[in-house]
Amino acid sequence: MSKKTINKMIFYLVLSLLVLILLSPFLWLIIQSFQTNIELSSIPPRIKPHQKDPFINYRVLLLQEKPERSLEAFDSAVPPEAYFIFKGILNSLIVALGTTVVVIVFSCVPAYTFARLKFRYKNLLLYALLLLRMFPIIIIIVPLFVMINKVGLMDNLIALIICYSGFLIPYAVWMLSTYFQTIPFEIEESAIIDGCSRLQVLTKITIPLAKPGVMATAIFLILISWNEFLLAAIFMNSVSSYTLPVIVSTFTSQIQMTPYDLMITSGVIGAIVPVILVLFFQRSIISGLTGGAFK
Amino acid sequence: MGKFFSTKIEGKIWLLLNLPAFLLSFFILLIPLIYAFYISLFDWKLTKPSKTFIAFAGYRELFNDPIFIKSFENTIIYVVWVVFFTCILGLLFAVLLNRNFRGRGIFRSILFIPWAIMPIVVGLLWTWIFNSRFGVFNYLLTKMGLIKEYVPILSSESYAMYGVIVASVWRDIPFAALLFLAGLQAIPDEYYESALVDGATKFQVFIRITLPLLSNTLMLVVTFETMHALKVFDVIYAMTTGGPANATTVLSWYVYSTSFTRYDLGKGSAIGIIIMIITLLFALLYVKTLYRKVEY
Repeated sequence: MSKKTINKMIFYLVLSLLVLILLSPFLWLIIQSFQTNIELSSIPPRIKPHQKDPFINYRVLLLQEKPERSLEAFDSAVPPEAYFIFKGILNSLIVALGTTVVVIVFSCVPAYTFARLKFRYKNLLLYALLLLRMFPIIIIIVPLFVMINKVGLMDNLIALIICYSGFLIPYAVWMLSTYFQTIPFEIEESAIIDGCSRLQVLTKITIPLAKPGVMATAIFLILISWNEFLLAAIFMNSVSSYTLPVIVSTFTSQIQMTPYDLMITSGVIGAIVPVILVLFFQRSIISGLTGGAFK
Repeated sequence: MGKFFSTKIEGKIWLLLNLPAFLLSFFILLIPLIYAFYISLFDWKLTKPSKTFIAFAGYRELFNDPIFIKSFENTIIYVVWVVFFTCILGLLFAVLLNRNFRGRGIFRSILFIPWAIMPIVVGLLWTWIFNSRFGVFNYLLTKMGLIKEYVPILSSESYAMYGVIVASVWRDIPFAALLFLAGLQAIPDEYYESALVDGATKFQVFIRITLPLLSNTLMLVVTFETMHALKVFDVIYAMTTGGPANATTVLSWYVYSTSFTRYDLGKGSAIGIIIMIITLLFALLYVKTLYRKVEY
């Protein structure tokens, strides 16, 4: 074999090994989600799944089946309704899709304005957009809590959609304007000469041509809203309106009798949707992220 | 705006269509920020009937608060370690992924998985790995002969922070790798080629050419990751809830525990404003680096 081929093989080997090591914690989580507490308590830790029924944890959580042992033995820190993760998935879906639709619809026009129009204070506003992306939400949870309470939207998923949208619009405007700038202006110009209004240009030409970019932005928005925890934990009080991250967090309580098997499985369920999104749309997400960070 | 819009009415409609986005962000981000500053000037505890104006006395009290000092120290420790390891490991993966090889896209998507997982699950995952009775981390250490008995990690005052740091680094590596990759790919191939033609080794190329050209990117990644590390919350909630004995209480966690466990809204907002100022400093540094032209 030539030296070049050997070098290539070593490269693939090293890379695969490193990626495997990086991924091993997640793989470990998946492997153990197929075991029940009995296997999980064994030392050394086992890899083989539960003998009779590997998927029992998933059925308990997703289909509200009765587990093998009595759940009342566990601390009431985890309310029995929380075991019904399905509602959490539904809530997360509503919030994620709602937020994405609102943000995309609101952000297209401002993004186009930043992309094409020269106006006073444009650079200043671009700086401001960039700064807003770094905003730590933790510092406004108290005011938001007071505001949402006053408007009577506590425990309402709409509150989350509104808050997430307000937070994500700077991201979306930035990302979309970067994509809109890649559309050749000549196409739009000829449409305007033919008598189209700016709005028609935007909806009929720019957005269809920038569809991959809009898709990438949408995927990014879904990812962020799906994973968000802080606001959801503070605004949602009743278990039936918990989003998925909040339900998963109820399993991480520090009380001694945490049901480890259900805890691990809830983690895997929580991670599935974003992981699948990332695996299928990695190209768009990556171009969206780096386009935003590097101007 | 004359040539941009065909009619004046169109221009006005366009302005109107820009409004919803700006109004929404204004109400969700800027108004609460001002309100948070306002609250920080009061002594407002939900346990007392009304709030009293104390101006900046709240901030002065903070500097005498031992837990605040501790959380400040913890934040520095956390940020320094996380940014350091995230950057080094991120750079490593970026360098490896910089070549054009078959299957590169697959490796990139797999690499991206830790970042996609929600921080709560990341915390949960590592809590389980570090579990003092059944965790695989203790098992591996014992098997390698490094320790004789299982060691508690997240319930130990000395080690809990490092457990949290490992979890955060694990999640952030893909993102840093991505930023570095973008920076690496901006370097034209001719630089490498001419250096190799001149007889430089791969290592020399890396030290003398790649690293200096990456300095801008490095600065960007460091400031970005610093601001990101200042925001940490979910991982701490899932792993340690600030304990044991405030060992993992960082500034952002202290805001939460002060506001929602102690119901001291004034103090919580004051800590938040301090976080905001620190973040702003790094954000300005970030923007300045972004717009600096790199000399080749």
